[in-house]
Amino acid sequence: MSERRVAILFGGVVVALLALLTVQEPQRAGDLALWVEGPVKQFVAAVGETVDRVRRGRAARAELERENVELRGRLREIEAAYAASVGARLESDLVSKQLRYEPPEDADLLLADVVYVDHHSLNRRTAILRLPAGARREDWSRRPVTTAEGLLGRVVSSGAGYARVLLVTDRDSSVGAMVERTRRQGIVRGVDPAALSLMFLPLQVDVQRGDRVITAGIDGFFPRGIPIGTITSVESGGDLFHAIRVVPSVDLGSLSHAYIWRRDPVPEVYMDGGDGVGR
Amino acid sequence: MASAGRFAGALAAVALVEVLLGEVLPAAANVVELFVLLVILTSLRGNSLHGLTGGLAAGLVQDTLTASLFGLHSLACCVVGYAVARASQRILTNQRMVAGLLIAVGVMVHQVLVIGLLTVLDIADVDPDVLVVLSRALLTSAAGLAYLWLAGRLREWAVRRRTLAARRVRSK
Repeated sequence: MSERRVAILFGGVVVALLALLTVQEPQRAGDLALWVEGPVKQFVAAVGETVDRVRRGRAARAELERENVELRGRLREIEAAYAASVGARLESDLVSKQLRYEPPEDADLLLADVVYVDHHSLNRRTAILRLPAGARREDWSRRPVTTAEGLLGRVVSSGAGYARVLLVTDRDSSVGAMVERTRRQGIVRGVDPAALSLMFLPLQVDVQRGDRVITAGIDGFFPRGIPIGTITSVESGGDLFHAIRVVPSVDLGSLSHAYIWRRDPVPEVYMDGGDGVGR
Repeated sequence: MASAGRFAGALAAVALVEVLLGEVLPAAANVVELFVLLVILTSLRGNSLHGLTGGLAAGLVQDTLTASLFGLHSLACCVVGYAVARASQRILTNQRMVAGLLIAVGVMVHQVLVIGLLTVLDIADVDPDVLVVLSRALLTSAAGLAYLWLAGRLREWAVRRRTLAARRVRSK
């Protein structure tokens, strides 16, 4: 018999004798089997986990590559739009220069603490701001007041270091507004403590739920483009106009600071018709 | 066939001696590993198949005579017989020192295997004593060397006697 066959026979005899021994001690054999089985199972689980991780990584990479391509496309679109806007701005500046038109100045804001808020009252919904030390002697009446979220209202009186703000939700407040998507203009008035009404938008005008409403800059107080709120419902309120309900952008229940705009309003003499025009 | 018969006879003799020693002097029966010695001496002169079958047969007989788990000594003797046979094919085992060294190593391997299997299978509380293992290996090796010396002397005596007989026949 060749040495190779004897070696195979030797291996078989050893295995058979080991089996004979473990059969006589089944409990211990089970323990030994577990001792061997545990690491094997751990190894198999680790291999499976690694394969799964690699597969998930490849899927994520493919997704990222796809997203990257999409983002590159969007970036190109944005770059093109930006280039177009820069061109338009240059052209606008050129035309403005020739027409001697002065564009509105950049906003100059004064930060003030909100020390009193009454946005639930039926009579008058106001807030009181405490002015900074260097700004207490100025007259802040008729100045717009905003927060980081949008329009809060306008100052109706100031003095002794404080300013009273008529909130945009007050029944006496009216703001020249427009639908941002269509640029259609109307008037926003306070309805109840948590809602506004956009008025005087004819029934044939396109207006949808979810449209943003911003200031139109046509009321002599507020600059153009400040967010007022979002349209939550559009109904046919009467024969001619929509009944549009708007939720304010500013959360009046969490006020802490506000910005007063250092912006001169249109002189009252023009607003009241004191210059004789129209009389 | 003749070698198998001689091995069977030697195995029977070793079994008888082990049984007698176990009855009369139990302490002495554990001093020298006669079964392992038989397996190693058989493997020194035979091939690996002889070592394997000799070890298996001797181990089975030892398992039958002892009260331990059946197959324990068979496995140990089988491994020792095969390993010694493979080793004897690669080194010269005619020198008595080499043979003695192989016997000592074989006995130690046998002891390690038996103690290891007993521990792994949790059959008995084994407290292995290195000195006991070493002394058993040395004594078994000494017994093996004594046997080899005696066998050599007997072989020489037989050869001399045969030579003398042949001269007498020639002178007549």
